[in-house]
Amino acid sequence: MGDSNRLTLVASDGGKFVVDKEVVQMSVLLKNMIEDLGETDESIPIPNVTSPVLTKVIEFCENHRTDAARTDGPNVDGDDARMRTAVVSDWDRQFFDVDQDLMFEIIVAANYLDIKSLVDVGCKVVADMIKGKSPQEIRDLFDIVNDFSPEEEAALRKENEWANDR
Amino acid sequence: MLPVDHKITSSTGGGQLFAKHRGWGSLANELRVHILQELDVTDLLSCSKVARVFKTLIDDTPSLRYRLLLHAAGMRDGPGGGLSVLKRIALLEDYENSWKAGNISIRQRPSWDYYEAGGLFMTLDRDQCQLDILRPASFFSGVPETAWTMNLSKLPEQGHAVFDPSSRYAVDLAQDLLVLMELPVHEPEKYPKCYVLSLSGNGATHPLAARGEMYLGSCLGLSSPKADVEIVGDLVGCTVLGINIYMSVYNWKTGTALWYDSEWDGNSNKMVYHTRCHILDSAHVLKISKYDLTMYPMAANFGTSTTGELAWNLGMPALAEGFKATHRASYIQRPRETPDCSPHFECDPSVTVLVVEYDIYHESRRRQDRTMLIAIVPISTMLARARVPPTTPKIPWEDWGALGARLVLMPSRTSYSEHIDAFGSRVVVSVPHRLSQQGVVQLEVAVLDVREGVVHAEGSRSAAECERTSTFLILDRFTEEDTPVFARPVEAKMPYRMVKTWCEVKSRDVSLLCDGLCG
Repeated sequence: MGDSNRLTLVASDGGKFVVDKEVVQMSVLLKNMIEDLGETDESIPIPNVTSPVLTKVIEFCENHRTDAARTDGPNVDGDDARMRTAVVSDWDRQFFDVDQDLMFEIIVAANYLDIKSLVDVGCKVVADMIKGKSPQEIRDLFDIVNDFSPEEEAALRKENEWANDR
Repeated sequence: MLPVDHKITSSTGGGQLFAKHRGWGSLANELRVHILQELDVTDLLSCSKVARVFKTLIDDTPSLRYRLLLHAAGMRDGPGGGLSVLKRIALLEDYENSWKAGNISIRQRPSWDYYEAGGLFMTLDRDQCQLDILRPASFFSGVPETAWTMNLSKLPEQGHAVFDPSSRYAVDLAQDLLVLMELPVHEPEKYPKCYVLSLSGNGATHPLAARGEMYLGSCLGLSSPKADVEIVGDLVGCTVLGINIYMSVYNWKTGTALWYDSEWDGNSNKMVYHTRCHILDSAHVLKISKYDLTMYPMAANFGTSTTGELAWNLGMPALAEGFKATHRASYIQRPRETPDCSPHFECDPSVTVLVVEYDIYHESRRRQDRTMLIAIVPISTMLARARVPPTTPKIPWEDWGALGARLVLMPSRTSYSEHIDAFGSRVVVSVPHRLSQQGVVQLEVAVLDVREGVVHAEGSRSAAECERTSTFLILDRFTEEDTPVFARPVEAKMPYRMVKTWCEVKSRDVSLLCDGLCG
């Protein structure tokens, strides 16, 4: 305590994390919160994020602290072409080499904490898992139940057809 | 180790609970859309078939739905500003529905002497030394009707010779380019010539052209030669059928020849007619001759190349004993850019197909009893072979065409009045049936769209399942019982969709425009 450059985050399960302010500020949510609080020794509770997830989120932010300025640029949502061409770095890919539940929890936490670069990378990693897979393979991948009725499946097939012979 | 039961609220959802959901189910819709936006259109299509929640999400997100619709229609997004994605979606849906219902728009040619190529109507007025071009309006994509008149009085020297009925030409509006081929039919000792002209310069030599004219191979030696010319970017491809067949590809900007070939059947001392070449891309040219397709690499520096020695010989399906095939015609029509206007969307040139028409007959039977075979091969299928080094032995149909091409068979062809035209990935076959009043002809028309991402209504069909009232047999599988012309069952599995309809026009055939037909 007392180090004005560091602060403490408390995960939903009570786990405490002492982190550099600079690192924390990659989260737009926490950055705003720190500005509102001003100089304080109080720890910041993150009620929606568990310790294992918060560990990963902090690991990502510490690794990317130097390029924070770059990724904090103007919001480019909707710029499809740019988003689809950018490639995931080796470090980011290794970072997301975790079990699937944790991967999705990291993405949800990043979205809650408003860490744009982590959301972007996470979504790209999930998209890469989908690429080249059939509908059934995607269902198996994410444990999704096919809830189309046979009639709906027939209609889906027809959607891309032209007229029958007459 | 991980607490499974923890609760997470989304930043915007205001206490939305995902406690019962894990994995994909824990994501808010905005994150799911974010992920789906990273996918290309074929993966997006797979996702839309996973479950209702996926399909609903894609249908309800305009940017995703628009990409799927463009893919289904064989279109790509246009530069046209000002029109919202929702309005473009509505236009695309109208467009697709018009094909689904067989309610295809048909435009009449301005007059009989206009010919249609690449969605343009053109006529060369020999008396006035002018070229008239009319681009019909496109109902859906927002291209207005535009007419151009080019005064060609500035054509060099013997300008009038090019207005001989046998002259051929090709136009590329985006490059302001007119390539005009002069065939000196009355002076057989002269060589055919190609003029590289500027449309806006009233027929003056194109400012980017290395030379105003290119000479083509050999003299004609025939009073009724046939010829063809095509423009693909910087390249001009020419086929001249005179005393022998001469095919060549030039770069019109540098003036260099990239490839040439000529044919003469030495054994029978006869011409191998109907041979011709098509430019596939900047580095590959295709020669269509007899019953084979041959793809050659083109060298940037002709002379150092080994053109003619190295090639990919793409074999067609083997014919049964006693059957012969003759190549009659071939067609490629790439959709052209429209630089003078901003369409909302436009035909995607990357899905263009080559169409080759063959006559198949049995040696022992009368010549009239023929079968028409139409091979529809996406250019991408052939270029896929170019990733492996050229091989001189023939690549059998089973190894290249079975999965990447589509065959159409019309048995008992007698009239030769069938007409074929291609545009992008589409092919139209029309057969005139009878003349009704006021010179209007009733045509039976089949349009096929051959490319990845489309499906046929009927699935796999044999001839027995086809309606006997129809002139067309569109077969997925060619068995001996259905089609005795092939030596063994033939596969041709490229996805396609088809619409068959009747239409009445004043001409005896129909051609394809970017979003409909013209008669």
